[in-house]
Amino acid sequence: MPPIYSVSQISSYTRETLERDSLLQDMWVSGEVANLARPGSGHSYFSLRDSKATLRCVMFRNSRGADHLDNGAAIILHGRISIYEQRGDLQIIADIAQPEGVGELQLKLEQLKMKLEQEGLFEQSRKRALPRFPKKIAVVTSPSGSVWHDIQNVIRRRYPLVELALAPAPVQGEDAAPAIAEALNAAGSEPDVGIVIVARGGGSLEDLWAFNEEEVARAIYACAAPVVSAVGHETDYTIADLVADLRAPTPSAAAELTVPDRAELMAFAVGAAQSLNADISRQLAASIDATRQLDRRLQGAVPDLDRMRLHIDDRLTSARRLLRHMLTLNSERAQGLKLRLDSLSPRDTLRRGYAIVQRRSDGGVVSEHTQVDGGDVVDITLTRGMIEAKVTSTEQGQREQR
Amino acid sequence: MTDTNANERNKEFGELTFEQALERLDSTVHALESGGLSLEEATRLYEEGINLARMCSEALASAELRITRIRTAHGEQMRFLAESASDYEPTPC
Repeated sequence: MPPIYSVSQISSYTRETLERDSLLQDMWVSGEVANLARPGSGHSYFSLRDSKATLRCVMFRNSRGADHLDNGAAIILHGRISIYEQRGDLQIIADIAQPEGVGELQLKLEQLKMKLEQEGLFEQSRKRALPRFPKKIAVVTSPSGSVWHDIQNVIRRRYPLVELALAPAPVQGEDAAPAIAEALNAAGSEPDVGIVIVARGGGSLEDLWAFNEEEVARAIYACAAPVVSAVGHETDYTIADLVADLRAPTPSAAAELTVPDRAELMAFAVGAAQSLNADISRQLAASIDATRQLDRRLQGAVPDLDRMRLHIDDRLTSARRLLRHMLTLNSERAQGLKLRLDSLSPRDTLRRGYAIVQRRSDGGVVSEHTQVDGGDVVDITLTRGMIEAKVTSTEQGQREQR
Repeated sequence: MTDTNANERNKEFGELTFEQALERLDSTVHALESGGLSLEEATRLYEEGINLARMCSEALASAELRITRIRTAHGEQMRFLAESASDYEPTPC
């Protein structure tokens, strides 16, 4: 007598058999979506079919790319095969959906993103804050590109009190990912480094690929200092950007985000000196006033204490002298501070014919063509007066081509 | 900085980082603003504050960006290539 099994036993056995098959547990399938249903749970239930066959699919809420699902849409799914035992349905449990036609790189990217996200590498809660006054900033980038040059310029203008250390690494090509990871590690363990910038100029998905490699993502995550990423143009989002503690739209913006502005700090020092001057003058005046009143009372009440009166006279004179001395001394000092503040302002530069371009929408200063789009309104500040202008087109100028 | 004033200042604030000097300047201004100090204490704070303001502004005006290199495999490789390229320069004989 052969053994007789229950329906559940056979069903479980089939499921377990399918789930042991490595191809069926990690596969990409292409087909057309049909019978899409999205009940309140937020999960998506649909069929994937081609001219000859149909498979049931389920995609749980929060899976990547569920918005590409649409009846009739040609898509590529990543997932595994299983059996829904209650109904005996064979189904794909999908975790990534991509529109048909995207390249292999894009699919690999989505898969790695999902893996790292599940491990918590993108968690907002582990993003570290940047020190406000870093002593030393390390930059992981190519020593020959314009990126390193641009970062130096911004930091030199804004906050030359910092030390800038280059950790050279190639930013594209086959050796790039391990070299970037190594440079990140070296930069993070360098003494005094408070921030690490990892940066690269714009390029195609293939050019930026090193910044989508797992090795680089893990090196950013493990870096001893907080990491600011600036890879490609504003619209490019690499895995490095997702893991970094802070993502900057461009390398110059990364430099701006990491240091305070010298002119603002100077204005603070000047303001502090002026406020100190005002306070001490007020207090000295008050104490002269109090001494005078004391003197008057003494004169009225006790006519025979000449010696004390002399003493008070003395104090009055020396307080006045002190006041005069401080006021002259320190209005000179405040004047000196103000001159230094002026030397840091862009006014003289404007006089030479340069202009400041600011976005009307948020007042942001425009230093690169990527910071505006056609149709944006910009304000142009000249040495005398302002111009309101509308951007007709943007173009990568010579600066970027260096 | 060769005058004696500057030397005295350095003795007093030389240990402070820029950040600490800025913080102390801020707290000095607040202390003097809130009042209630003796004239001697106020004058002392005032002197200290003005020196701090001057020190900060001098640091800002005179700072020059220091640029260094961190040793990486790629950096070493580039240096090696640059050196061997210059080794192969034809030498007159």
